Amino acid sequence: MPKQILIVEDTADLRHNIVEVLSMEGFTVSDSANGEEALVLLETINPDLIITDLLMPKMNGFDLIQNIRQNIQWKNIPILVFSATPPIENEKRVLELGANSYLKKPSTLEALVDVVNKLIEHE
Amino acid sequence: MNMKQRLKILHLEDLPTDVELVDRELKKSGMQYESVVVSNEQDFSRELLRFSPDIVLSDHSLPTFNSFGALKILREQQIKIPFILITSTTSEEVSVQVMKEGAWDYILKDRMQRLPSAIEQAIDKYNVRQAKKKTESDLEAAHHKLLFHFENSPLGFVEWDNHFNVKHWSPRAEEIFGWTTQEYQDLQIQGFNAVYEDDYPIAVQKALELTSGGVSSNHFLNRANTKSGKVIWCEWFNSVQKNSDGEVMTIMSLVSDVTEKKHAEEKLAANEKRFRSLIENISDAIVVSDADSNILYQSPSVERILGYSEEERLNKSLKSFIHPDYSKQYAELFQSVLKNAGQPHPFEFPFLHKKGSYVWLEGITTNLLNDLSVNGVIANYRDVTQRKMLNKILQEYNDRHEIVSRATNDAIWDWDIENDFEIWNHGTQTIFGYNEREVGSSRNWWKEKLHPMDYERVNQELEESFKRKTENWISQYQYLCANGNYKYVLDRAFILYREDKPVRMIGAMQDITEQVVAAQELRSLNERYEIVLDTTGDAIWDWDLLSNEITWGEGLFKLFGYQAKAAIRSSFWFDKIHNDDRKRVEQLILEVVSNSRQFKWEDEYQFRKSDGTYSFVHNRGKIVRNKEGKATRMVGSIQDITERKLALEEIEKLSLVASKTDNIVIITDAEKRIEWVNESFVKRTGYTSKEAIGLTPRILQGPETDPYIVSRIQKHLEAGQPVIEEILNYSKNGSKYWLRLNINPVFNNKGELTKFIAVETDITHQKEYEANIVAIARELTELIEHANVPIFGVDRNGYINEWNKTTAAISEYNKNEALGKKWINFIDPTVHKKASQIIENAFAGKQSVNFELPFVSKSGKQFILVISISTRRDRNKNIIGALCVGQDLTEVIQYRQGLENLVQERTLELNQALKKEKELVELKSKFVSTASHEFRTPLSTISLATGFIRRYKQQIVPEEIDKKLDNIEKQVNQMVYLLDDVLLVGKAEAGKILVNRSEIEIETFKTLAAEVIESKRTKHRLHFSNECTVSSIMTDEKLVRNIIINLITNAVKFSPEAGKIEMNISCDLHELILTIKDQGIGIPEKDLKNLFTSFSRGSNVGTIEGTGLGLSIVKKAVDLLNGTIELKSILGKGTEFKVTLPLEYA
Repeated sequence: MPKQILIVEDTADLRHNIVEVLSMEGFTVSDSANGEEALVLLETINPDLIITDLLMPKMNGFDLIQNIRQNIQWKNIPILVFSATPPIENEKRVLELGANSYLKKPSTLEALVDVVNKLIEHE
Repeated sequence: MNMKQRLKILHLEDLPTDVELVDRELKKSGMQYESVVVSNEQDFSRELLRFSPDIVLSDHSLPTFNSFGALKILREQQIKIPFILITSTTSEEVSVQVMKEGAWDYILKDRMQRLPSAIEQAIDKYNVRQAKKKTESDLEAAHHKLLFHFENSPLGFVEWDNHFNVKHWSPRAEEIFGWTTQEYQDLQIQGFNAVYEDDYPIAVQKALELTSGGVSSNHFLNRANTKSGKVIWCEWFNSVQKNSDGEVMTIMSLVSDVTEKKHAEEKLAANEKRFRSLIENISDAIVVSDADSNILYQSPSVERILGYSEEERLNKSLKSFIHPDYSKQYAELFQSVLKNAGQPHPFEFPFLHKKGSYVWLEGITTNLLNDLSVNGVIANYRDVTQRKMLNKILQEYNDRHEIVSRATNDAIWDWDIENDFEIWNHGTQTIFGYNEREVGSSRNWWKEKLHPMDYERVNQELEESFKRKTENWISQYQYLCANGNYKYVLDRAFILYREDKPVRMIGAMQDITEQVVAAQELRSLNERYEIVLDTTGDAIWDWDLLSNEITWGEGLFKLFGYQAKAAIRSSFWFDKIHNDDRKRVEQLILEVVSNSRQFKWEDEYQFRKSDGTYSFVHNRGKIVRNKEGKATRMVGSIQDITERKLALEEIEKLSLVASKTDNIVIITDAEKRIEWVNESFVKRTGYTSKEAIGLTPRILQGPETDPYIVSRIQKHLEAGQPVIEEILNYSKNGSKYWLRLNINPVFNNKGELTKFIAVETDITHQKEYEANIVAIARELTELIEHANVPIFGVDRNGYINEWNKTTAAISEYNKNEALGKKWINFIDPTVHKKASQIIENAFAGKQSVNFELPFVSKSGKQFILVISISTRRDRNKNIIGALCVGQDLTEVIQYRQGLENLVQERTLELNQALKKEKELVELKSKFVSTASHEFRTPLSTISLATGFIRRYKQQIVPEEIDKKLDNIEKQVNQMVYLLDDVLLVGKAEAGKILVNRSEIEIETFKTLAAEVIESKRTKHRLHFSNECTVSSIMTDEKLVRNIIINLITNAVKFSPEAGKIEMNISCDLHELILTIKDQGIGIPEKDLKNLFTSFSRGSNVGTIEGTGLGLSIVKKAVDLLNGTIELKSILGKGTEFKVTLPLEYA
C-alpha cells in the first residue's frame, strides 16, 4: 500500500513540481493551495505525511500546524515545513508548534526526497 | 558509478554466438555485470532509458540497425556513457568513422580477450569524466548562486583578482560608485575604489593584508570618490578566495554606502563636542558623580573655585569635600536626589578648598542616572561665599542698628527722602502712643502731627538745611500725641547727601516737655519778679532825726495798711520790724547815721503789716547832714519785696529739681553775664558759683565748639528769641561735653530784655550713641542700597520697607512703587501660599534660607530669586520684620533650562537621525528578507524541476522534460521581472531614468492588463472601458506599462476572493486618466502615509507575497511623467487608483 502525502503550497508551479516528484517516488499525493483547503481535504484522506509552506493566503502554515496538532485524529501525522522564510526566524517556532522537520527553500530534489523518506519510515 | 556494483551492459547484437562469445570472455575476467541484449532500434531506445546501462557494447551492423544509429540516439539523448564497438570488420575506415561518431573504443571479434580491459578503461575514463563534469557544474552552480545573491544584494559586490584589479562588480556597486565594471577597468585603478586621498594609507594597508594572505577576511571604512565627484563613505567587508595550493586567487568584497550613517555619527560626535565645550566654557561649575557620589567629571570652573584639578578629585567621593558639620545634611540631600530622579534639588554647603579653607557653594543637583547622555548625578553650582559674607555683615549691622536704637527712649526715624518712605522705631509708640498700624510711612504723616504754630517754621528750617547742605538738623517743636496732647520735642537729625541731593535723613525725637515746661515756668517767675519790682508803689518816708519823727507817704497805707497822716515817732516803725531783724536794723542805722561820711543806708527786713502778717521789705534811705556833719534827717522809701523774695526762693527750688535731673541752670542778665548758676553747673563745669558769676557762658566754649552754632545762638538771643541748640562745651579742666541748650529771654513789663534763663542738659552720652547709630545706619543704608544682590525688607504685616537698587533694577519697580506695598504682590501668584508660609516661618523665628521664589516684574516677566530671610527684632526681641537677601537665579535657571533644552534638542536630533538610519536599515533588511523569499520560491521550483529531470530522465518521456524546462524558464522570467523591479526602483531613486515618448495605441493598454490578469491564472474578470477621444497618445511606453502592470498585479493580488477588476481609460489631447478598481481587501488609513515608499507594505497584507516595490514603482513612473496619483479605498470593499498624466504633443 503506497504511502500518502498531503502537499500544502500556494505557489501553483511549485506545488505541481512537488506533487510530480513525490508521485515519481511512488507516493500517493494530494495537494491543496492553503491551510483552509488542507483542513477540508484532511476530512476525507488520511495522509502519512503533510508537507506545508508557511506564508499562504487565507490560512498560513503556522495556523495549519496548530489546527492539525489540536485534532486528535491528526495529531500524530508527521509534518514537514517547506518554506522560503529563513529558518532562524521560523524553524524553532514551527517545531514548537508541533512540526517534525524544517526544510528550507530552495532545496534539491534529493534533500526533499530524503527528508520525506526519513519522516515516513520513522513513522 | 561504482565499480563494486554490478555493471549494467546494454549489448546490441543480433548473433547469439557473438553474445555468447562476449559473455564468455567477460565471465572469464570475473567481471560482475548484468546485461540486456537488443537487436533493433526500438528496443535499444527503450532499454537505454529503462535499463539505464553503464556501458553500451555494439555490433557494427545489424539487420535493421547499426552502430551509427545507436551513437546518434545516445547523442540526441545526451547520454554520455561509454560505447564500445565490437566488430568483425577489419576495415580501419569503418572503425575510424565509428570512433568519430562518438564510440569510445573498438574491439575486433577475433581479439575478444581485450574486451574486459577495454570496458574497465572506458568505465574509468567515464567516471573521471563524470566526476570532473560534476565538479565543474557544482562549481558553476555555486558560483552562479553566489553571484545571484551578490548581484541582488543591497550591498555592492566587487570581485578583484590577486592584484586588486576589478574583475567584476555588481549593479549595486555600480550604483554606489557610478562606474560600470568596464569603465572602471578602463581607468586601470588598482585597489579599493577611487579612494579619497586622506584614506589611502588605510586602504593600502587593508589590501596588502589580504593579498599577502595574512588574513582571510577584513573589514574597514574609507571615503571614496564616485564618478560624479561626490565623496562617499564606504564600508568594506572583504574575504579572500584561495586555490588548493593556498594561493590567493580572488578577493570578494561587499561594500555599502554608509555616508548617511557616518554623517549621523559625525553629527552626534559634533553635538557631543559642542555640548562638552558648552559645559566647559560656562562659569558655573559642573560636577557629575555616580550613585555613590564618586566624581566622574568636573568642569574646568571647579578648579577655579575649589583649587582641585579634575584628576585630583576624580573617583573621590563628594562627601569627602563637604564641611564635616554638614556631612549629615549632605547625606540626606543625596538620598533625596537619588530617590527623585530628574528633580532638581537646590543646595548650599561649605566645600573644602585645596588650600584647606571652605568655600560656600550654592547650586542645584539633579539625578540624571537614567539619562543616557549624562548617566550620573549632575550638580552645577557657584561660589556664594561672598554673598554669604555679605549676608552675615548685613545681619550684624542690622542687629547693631537694632541694639543701638533699643538703647534709647528717643523716637528714631529713618526717612528715605528720594522715595518719601519713612520708618520708625518703637519710640513712636513709647513716646507718642502710636501703635504699628497707626504709623504712616510718608513724611506727611509726621508733618501732620506738627503743632500749627510750629508747622511753617519747622518746615522752613528743614528746607534751609537742605539748601545749605548741612549734615545736622535740629529743631524743637510741639508734636501731636495719639491721645490728642502735644509734647515738646527736640528733633535732631543727620542728613545724608548723594550728589548734593538729600537722600536720607535719620533722626531722633526726644521728649523735652519737662525741660521746656520747667524753663517756661522759670521765665514766667522771673517776669513776675520784674513786674513786681517795677509796679509796686514805694512807701516814702522822711525821718527827722532831731525830733525823731517820721513823716510817711501814701505808700504806707497801700503797702502795709497803716494810716499815718501826721508825723509819727520812729518807734512806730521800729516796733513793726520783725524781732529777728530789729536789732540788726537799728544797729546798722546807728552806725550809718553816726558815721559822718555815710550818706546812704539800705537794708532788707521783715515788716509787720496792719493785718499782723510780715512782708519782706527793702528799705533805702539818704542821709542829710549839717555843716558839722551831723545827720539831721534821712529820706527814703520802703519797697515790699515779698513776692520777689518768694519768686527767688521758687527759682532756688526749681534749680534744685533741675540739678537733681542733671540739668544745668544758668541765669544771666541782659548782657549775658552770669547772675546765678545751680549745683549741676558747678559739678559739670568745675567752676564754683562765685567764679562763674559775672562771667559770660562763653568761657565754656572751646576750640571744637562749632562757631556757626555759637553765632546762631547769638543771633537768636539778640533778637530776644528762645534758642534750642546742641553745643560742645569745655569744663574748667578742659574735658569736652555735649550740651543741649534751652535758652529763654526774660522781659520786664515794659518789654525790655532783662535776663536769659538757660536750662542745659548734658547729652554727651546720647550724642555718642547717636553718632554711632547714624554711622551704622549710614553704612547699612549704603550697604543695602549698593549691594549687588537684591535686598528688600518686609515688616511684620507684610509691607515692604526696604527695596534696594538691585531689587529695583531686577523687578523694574522703583523704590517708590514698592515701598509700603504688600510683598506678596511681587511674587508669582502660583506660589503665594508657599511664599506666605516662608515669611510666616521667618516671623515665627525659624531661619529661612535659600528659597527659590519666582517674582513677577513690572513688565510681567518672571524672575527667580533665591532668598534668605533674616528677622529684625525690637528691643524686647519681638520680631518686627524681615530682611530678605536674594540672588537672581533667573539667568542661572534660564541657562540651566537652556542647557537642558539644548541637551534635549540634541538628543532628539540624534534620536531622529538614528531612528531614520535604523528605519532605513530595517527597511533594507526587510527588503532583503522579502526579496530573498520572493526569489526562493521560483528557485525551489527550478531546483525541483531540474532534480526531476535528472532523477527520472529514464522513466519519463521527452515531452515531460520539455514541460519541466518550460517551467524553469517561466520561473527564471519571473525572477528577472522581480530583479527588474528592484533595479527600477534603484534607478528611479538615483534619477537615472529618462522619459522617452513615443506614440502608443490605447488598446495596447487593454491587452497588457488582460495579459497580466491571464498570467496570474486566477478567476478575476477584467472590465475594460475606453472613453478616449483619440486612439493613440504620445507617452513613455515603458513607464505607462509599469504603472498598469503594477496596479493590475496589485488589484489581482489584493483581492484574493477574485471578482471584478475595472479599468477605465479616458483621454483627450491634454491628459490621460487611468482608473483601476478592485474589490479587494482595501488599504488601512494608517498605511496611506507610507504607501508609496519603497519596501513598505500594508499592515493587512497577511501572507500575500510581495516586496513593497509595486506602488513605489508606480509613483516614480507617475512622477517622471509629471502626473498625479490618487486613491480611494474602503477596507474590505476595494481600492480604486486614479492616475492622471498630462500629455505633450510636439
